[in-house]
Amino acid sequence: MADPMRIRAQAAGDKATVRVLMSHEMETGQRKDSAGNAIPAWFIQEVTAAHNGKTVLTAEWGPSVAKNPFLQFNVKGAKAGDKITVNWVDNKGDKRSDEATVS
Amino acid sequence: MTLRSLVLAVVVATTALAASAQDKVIYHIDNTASQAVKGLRNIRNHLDVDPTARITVVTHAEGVDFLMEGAKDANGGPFAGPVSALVARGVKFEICEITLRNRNLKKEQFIQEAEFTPSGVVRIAKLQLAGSAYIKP
Repeated sequence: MADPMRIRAQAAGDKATVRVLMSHEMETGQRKDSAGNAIPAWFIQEVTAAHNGKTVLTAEWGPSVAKNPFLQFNVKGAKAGDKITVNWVDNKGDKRSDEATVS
Repeated sequence: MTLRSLVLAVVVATTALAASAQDKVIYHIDNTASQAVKGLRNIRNHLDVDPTARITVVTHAEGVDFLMEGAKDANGGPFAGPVSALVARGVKFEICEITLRNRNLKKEQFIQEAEFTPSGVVRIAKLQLAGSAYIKP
């Protein structure tokens, strides 16, 4: 299981700004190790975010996203106390789901 | 830089990684004004010369300030950029939780890259006994 995401959600006006820091190697598949063998690709493929259980964002990612990706987005209508859930699935089928409360 | 030289550089870097044992190093920062800029420069130079070093930065007292959201150095340059660049190179930044209580600070006030440790001094002692070198910039 991968390390937890760090999620912060802060309400301002009629929206909340959500900032997510994910912990993932994001290996492109293009690099070689010291023996000259290609390092297999390993990257987050699908990201979804939900506001109180309702999906508000889905994204398909590829190997060009950097290691330990940072994602920021706004959720309209989210207010303090609401729950924001973020999920990712990588190309090895490993997944991670973390939750934060809007403050 | 061409793709080939980039790949070569990566191969050379990973070879170096495999060849030498990793040095473990603590950087101890307890005063942002006098140590933070210097310390970050030291760590950058440290990793330039020895990319495999495992560096842990332990902060407490006035040393935690540069890890707060929106923190700026004396010339108005933000700290967040240089810090997250070092995190991407494997450096860990740890904040003393006793300091948080004493100074009434909340974890949410710090940048997301920062980690927390129950006591800065205990952490330094434990790391040092586990074979880390100690540097106070």
